[in-house]
Amino acid sequence: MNDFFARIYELGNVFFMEGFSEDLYDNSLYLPVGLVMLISSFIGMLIYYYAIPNPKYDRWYHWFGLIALIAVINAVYAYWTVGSELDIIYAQADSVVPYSIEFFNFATVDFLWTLIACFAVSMIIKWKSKNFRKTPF
Amino acid sequence: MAKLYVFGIGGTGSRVIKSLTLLLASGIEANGHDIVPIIIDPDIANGDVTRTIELLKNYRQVRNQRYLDFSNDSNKFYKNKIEPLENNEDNFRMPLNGVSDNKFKDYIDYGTLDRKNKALASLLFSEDNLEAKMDVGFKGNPNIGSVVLNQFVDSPYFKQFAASFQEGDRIFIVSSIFGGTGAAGFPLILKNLRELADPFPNCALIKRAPVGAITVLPYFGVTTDTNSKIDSSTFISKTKAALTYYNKNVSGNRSLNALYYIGDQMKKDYTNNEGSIAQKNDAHFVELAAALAILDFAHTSAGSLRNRLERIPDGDTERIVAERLHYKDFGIKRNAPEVTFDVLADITQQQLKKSLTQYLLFVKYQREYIKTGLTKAWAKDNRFDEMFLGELFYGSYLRNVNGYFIEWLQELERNDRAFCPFNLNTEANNLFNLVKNVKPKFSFTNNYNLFDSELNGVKDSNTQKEQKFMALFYQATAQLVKNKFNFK
Repeated sequence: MNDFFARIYELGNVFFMEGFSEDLYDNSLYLPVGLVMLISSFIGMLIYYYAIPNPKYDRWYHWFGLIALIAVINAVYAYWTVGSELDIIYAQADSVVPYSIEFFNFATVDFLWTLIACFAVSMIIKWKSKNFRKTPF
Repeated sequence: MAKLYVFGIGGTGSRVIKSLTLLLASGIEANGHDIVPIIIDPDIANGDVTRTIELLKNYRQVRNQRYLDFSNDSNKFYKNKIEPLENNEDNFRMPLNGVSDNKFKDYIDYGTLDRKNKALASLLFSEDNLEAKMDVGFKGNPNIGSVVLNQFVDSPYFKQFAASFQEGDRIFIVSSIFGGTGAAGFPLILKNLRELADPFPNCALIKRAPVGAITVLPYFGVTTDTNSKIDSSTFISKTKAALTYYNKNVSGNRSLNALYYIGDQMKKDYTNNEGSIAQKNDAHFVELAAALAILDFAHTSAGSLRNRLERIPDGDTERIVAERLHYKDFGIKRNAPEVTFDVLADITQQQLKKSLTQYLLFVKYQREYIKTGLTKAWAKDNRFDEMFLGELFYGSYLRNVNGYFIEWLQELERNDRAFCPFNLNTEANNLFNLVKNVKPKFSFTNNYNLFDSELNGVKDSNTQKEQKFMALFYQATAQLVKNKFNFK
């Protein structure tokens, strides 16, 4: 699974960051971030399409607001998890984490992948929704 | 399908047919009878008649088979068929010859009568009667009406009625007893139906047909106007005289199968108009109850509406008499000036509250919310869009009937006695406070959002767009009135 998420988060060399990406891969940090991204997207969309009873939230901007919120939460989670884990790892080796902007870049990638995951889950599960089957279109 | 021919005589007859039409639009049914309204009124421009005919035309258009199919029960709005006598022609009025621009004395050729007959005519008709112009009706003079209306059996329209009559069809006559047209027309029609003979087609069938009638006793007054021939202080005396006559010649000889009486002591004075366009009285609860009498007659079993031939004791002739004559009247639980659903008898509540509430919810959605509704899943699924709203079915016919429905409820509400079961002005954020004295059940989603949710949840297999539209709203409103008001 770590390999799978590594491929996704690195997307070939598009989002690969020298040293930082290798640290995430070697310490299996892609796994929790990726799992949280997938599970939260699925649960978030499941709640939207099947638990909200009020059709007044059926506009595309309601849907987009929700997936943006899920993406922000995921980005914060990714930033925080990876940061704290690498802190511990580097502290054990008596050194300082040599990354700064990489955390932000990784959180941004996670944000984008969450948006994509939410969109994909929406397209799969929306058809049986009572009130939101036509959302976002 | 068996037919129920409804003769609506005079202004009251038209208004009762209007109420009946709107009840049928809301999904109430006449026990499988197609309704064939026949309006008889010499007043060609009468506002009440014109409104009723326009409503009937629009009802027919909405119900047109091109739009709606009732082979399944997915929609009951407009389920009951209303047909004119001549198919495909929106002709609901029986024409009366010789009444327009004619004085009564011209109609009877008074000028050509010899001295003795002139003297007889003067005994029966006052100078005012003889000089009366009849294009606005008989102005409360049944003695004029009884002469003029006697012509109707000779009209081609009546022959069409006879030709279309079939085994199992029924006849109902609606008239008021305190005016001119209805009071004269009712016994005349009845007599002519029971004595119909060759060469009328189906005369044997018509003679033996079940006939019901409602005679509407005074339920409104008119303001005093010295220039008008109509004086409401004569209503009671006219009623007494007519009832005495009916007692002998209508119910007394059992020439009909069911006779319904209705009236009201609580009366509002309408503006005194002799007729024409200006006679456009507000709808009244009594007319609604009279329409229910028609439905009651339609639901009466055929077995209890049988007729038989009876030999007249002092002659060789035979006549048709009812084996059993049903007398019925209408009551409410208490003498309330404002009639809400809880004031109605239980059986009337059962008949009205679900259907009227459903249709009112449907109408309110169309008038207040449909533009927003088009953005919802139910509308997008079926491609209901602005173009659909502009098509004849929705933009013209349905919108017109809905307009008449709201106007009817508003008129019923402001009349005395008022029929006001609904808070007609409920805001969109308070939609389910619609039914007076009925507290809606709590739900997290409410108002038009709940309405949309029900619409979104309807599973309907119809493919025709208009049929689908009506089915969605019928089923959604049925669910709403059940869930919010427990109306089943």
